[in-house]
Amino acid sequence: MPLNLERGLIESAKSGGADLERLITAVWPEAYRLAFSILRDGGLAEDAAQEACASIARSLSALKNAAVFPAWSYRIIVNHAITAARRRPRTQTLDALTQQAVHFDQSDALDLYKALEALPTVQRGAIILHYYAGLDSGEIADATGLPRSTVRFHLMLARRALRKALSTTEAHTLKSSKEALSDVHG
Amino acid sequence: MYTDERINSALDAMLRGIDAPPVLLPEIQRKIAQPQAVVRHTPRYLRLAIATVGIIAIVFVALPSQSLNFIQSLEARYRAALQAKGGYAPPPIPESLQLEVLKQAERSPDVSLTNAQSRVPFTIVPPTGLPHDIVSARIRTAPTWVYSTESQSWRVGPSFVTFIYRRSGHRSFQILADQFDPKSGSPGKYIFEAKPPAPNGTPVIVRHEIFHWRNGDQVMSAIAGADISAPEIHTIVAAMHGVAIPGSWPAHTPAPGADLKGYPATEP
Repeated sequence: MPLNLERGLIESAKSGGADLERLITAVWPEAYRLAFSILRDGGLAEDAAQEACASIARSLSALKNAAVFPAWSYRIIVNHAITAARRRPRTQTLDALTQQAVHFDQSDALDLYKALEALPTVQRGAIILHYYAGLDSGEIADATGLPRSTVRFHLMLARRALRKALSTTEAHTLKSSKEALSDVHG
Repeated sequence: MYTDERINSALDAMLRGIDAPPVLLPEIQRKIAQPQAVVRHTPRYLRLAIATVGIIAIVFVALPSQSLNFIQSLEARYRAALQAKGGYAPPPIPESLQLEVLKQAERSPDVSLTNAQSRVPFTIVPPTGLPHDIVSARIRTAPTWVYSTESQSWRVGPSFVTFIYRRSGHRSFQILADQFDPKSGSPGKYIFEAKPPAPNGTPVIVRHEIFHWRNGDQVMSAIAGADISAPEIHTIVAAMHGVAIPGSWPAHTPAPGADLKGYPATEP
């Protein structure tokens, strides 16, 4: 989990001031990436990430165990992103669409990005909380307010869709490679 | 074959490929300082009132977490909303009857279709042709309140059935099934959601369309909105071979001798 911050920073940030600003600055990139991966809209993601950072700052004093900070933060960020997704306008401006540029070093990442795009917001959030934040279905249920069985169901559907999308791409890539080889060898 | 590890790795790479803009600390500080509204999570059904004569008269909730006083204040708001819209509203339900039905509704667990059938006096025709993204379905039964326009009094009535569905995107909707009463007359075409008043005190009322259809001695009702659209309800009615009962608006004053019904709504 990339949000593994120094425990000392988490504790000292509870008093506010410069340490809280350092903590927010450290959390920000991850908050934005998570929000963007769910919302697919730069403006909305920025707003949701800001709300999540504000929420983390406000609730930090109630966090008893600094060791659970990463999972605790992920829950807050994903919840804010899902809430923003529910409120989002149904149409997007051209500007909003053109702001969504991302770049990936791995083809798997691009395939996954496209596959996630097709999932409903809740399934996208559940997948990110499960695979990226490492939460189990019970913890995701607590975080999202959904029944545990519903979370398991969402995870199953999302996992199935991702595997299918990625396998299709893999099969297509293999086929293209074979065709390229046959072209080379005549 | 893609494994969980591969999804994990791809997800990690995907997130690393998203460039975050610079953090705007002043904006976050401003949001931290903003006063936080106390959010009271109340189900949508809690805020719904039905302006209609006949099949459905009032909807309010039976939730263990809600006090009777709270329900009564909502019910008063519904009544004001109905009357503001020119709809007919029966007098308030006596507190003892409210408690009796609400307690029964609270205690009622989810039941099977067979169990539900044994509790109601009509033949249940379950919904078909439902949206494809349903993730869970539950069935509950609860007694109704019946208002007699003849004796001008309320009593506890026979049970009705609620089919509760959850679907993708945190959406949920309910379909009510009750005994068809030919004396009920034309149901209302709209239901009015009484929202909290505007800051200047102006009442805020949102109108939703409600659909009714009949199968044998059963009448079903569903409210169109963000959770289920009117075309989706039409698909259900068609798949069930139901006979649509056209709603009327403005709602008529009930015919002499007609009974009106109140339904304790189920938590979505």
